[in-house]
Amino acid sequence: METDPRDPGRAADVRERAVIDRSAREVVLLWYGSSVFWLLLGSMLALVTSIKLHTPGFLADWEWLTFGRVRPAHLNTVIYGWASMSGVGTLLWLMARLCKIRLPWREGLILAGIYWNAMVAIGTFQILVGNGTSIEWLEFPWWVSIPLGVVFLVLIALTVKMLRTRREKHLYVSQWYLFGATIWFPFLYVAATVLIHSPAATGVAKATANWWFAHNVLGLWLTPIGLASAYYFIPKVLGRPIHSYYLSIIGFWSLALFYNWAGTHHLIGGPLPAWLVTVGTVGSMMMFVPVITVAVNHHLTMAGHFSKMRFSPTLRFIVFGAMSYTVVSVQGSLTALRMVNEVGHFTHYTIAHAHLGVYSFYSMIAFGSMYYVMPRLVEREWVSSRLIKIHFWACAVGMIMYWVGLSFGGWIQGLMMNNPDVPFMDVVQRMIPYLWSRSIAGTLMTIGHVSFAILVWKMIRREGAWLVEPTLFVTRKDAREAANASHLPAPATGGHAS
Amino acid sequence: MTNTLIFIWGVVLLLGASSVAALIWAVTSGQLAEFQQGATSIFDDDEPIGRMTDEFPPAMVTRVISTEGGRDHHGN
Repeated sequence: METDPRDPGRAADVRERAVIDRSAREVVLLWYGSSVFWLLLGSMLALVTSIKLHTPGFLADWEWLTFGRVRPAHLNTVIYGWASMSGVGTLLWLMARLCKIRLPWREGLILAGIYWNAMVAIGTFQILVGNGTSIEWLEFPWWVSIPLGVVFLVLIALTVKMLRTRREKHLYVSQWYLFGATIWFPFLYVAATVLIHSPAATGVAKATANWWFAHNVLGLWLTPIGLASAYYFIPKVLGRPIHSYYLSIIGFWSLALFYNWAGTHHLIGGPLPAWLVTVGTVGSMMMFVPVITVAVNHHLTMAGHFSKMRFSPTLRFIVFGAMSYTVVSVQGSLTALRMVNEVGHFTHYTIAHAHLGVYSFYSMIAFGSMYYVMPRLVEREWVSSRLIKIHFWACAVGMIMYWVGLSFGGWIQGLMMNNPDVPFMDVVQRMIPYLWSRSIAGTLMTIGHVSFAILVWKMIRREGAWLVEPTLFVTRKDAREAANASHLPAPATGGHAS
Repeated sequence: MTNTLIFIWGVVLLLGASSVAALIWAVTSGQLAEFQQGATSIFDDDEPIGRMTDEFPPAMVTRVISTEGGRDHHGN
């Protein structure tokens, strides 16, 4: 049964949450707002890149927008701009909430946000000018990537401070993932950046360091933040504890053990010592352990409650993301097998897989988290349920279309390229319809991002109604009408969150 | 080359040591005991088990607050 609203214990809980949320307000809004800007820019760069592959003459006269520059510019804006900035926003909010302390170092974190934006802007500009490094996922020039790493060091210090001053002694599973992300990823970032930009690693060693790092951006940075969000928001939105806490802890430790071994599966068939590639393959197969525990756990938490996805945008986006995590991880483990890799490697199949990971899994969870967090920070409702629906369906349909089209096309491409009797131009021509499907899918996703950007813009400008319930799929007025029509009492209008 | 090797081994050992240290700390400080209590630590009196915290109004109006919402209904 619901407790009495005048209950002092309940009132204290409301106050405590409000104080913590307010302490995170400016910082998290800055990181979130910036991330949406980079998402829009990244989508534009992605569309230009995609169109060039089936219509090569498109914007071909300007060297700034040639494929070799727009493509890395897209990758770096979405990874360091969109994904990392939205991730840090969610991470700071979740850590403050779960440690039950006010967010420390607020001015510093605002400065860090501005500094981060400046670094990503300079780095992207340098890539477009032609000063990219051509090392995938680390295309920013060294004098941008190294200063960017400083923020990671700040994040380590902040994490340790929050851990030491926390008021809730028990670490919830999400905190384990967040500490994993903030403490391990900076090591990787600094190590890889130093190795790659110094003369120490050349040739094969450079490629090895490159892919060890690139795979771990997903594995030890975005994945833990995404899973931490899913482990918090799914139970929190449903009001139902996760099915098995025990499994969730096993999942965390097995991820910590196995994920960072997997990177060399990107170099199957390359001139590496065979054992190094085998280690990557074994690491990838071992990932079945954390993936199955997470999949089983989330599914059993949701079981019997899937209909509630209709009522909550947060749940809708996050469950879509959590399901994609299972799919992308199983696909990833299988792709690391040499016999599968033989066909899929160096084709569009890999691109489809990468987007299933960073977009369908990570970004959808980031969207869902932002739908939950932002109304609580700003104390306003989302302005339009229609835009939320457009956002979800455009992105979900776009993403599925993207993945199906390119996976299928990429597989055909791989089979054709492995057949020495097929002339290369035949392969190129055969791919054109699939590449068109990607441009159409990308346009759909961009439409979704634009509706999301409008919502976030209006949220930051406080144009929504005063917060009564944070998330609406219909406006409050419609809700009252619906309630009146069915002769039910209208929802109470008193703001309990104030 | 020697410097590189020292650097790589340094990073590897630091990374590995941090995970081992975290695991030892977790076991000795009782973080890995009382799992079910851990799962319920994100709920409180105002947002108890069994209450959805993100949904649209008509569902709230018609909702029967049910105990099936939470398997282990503590009610705090």
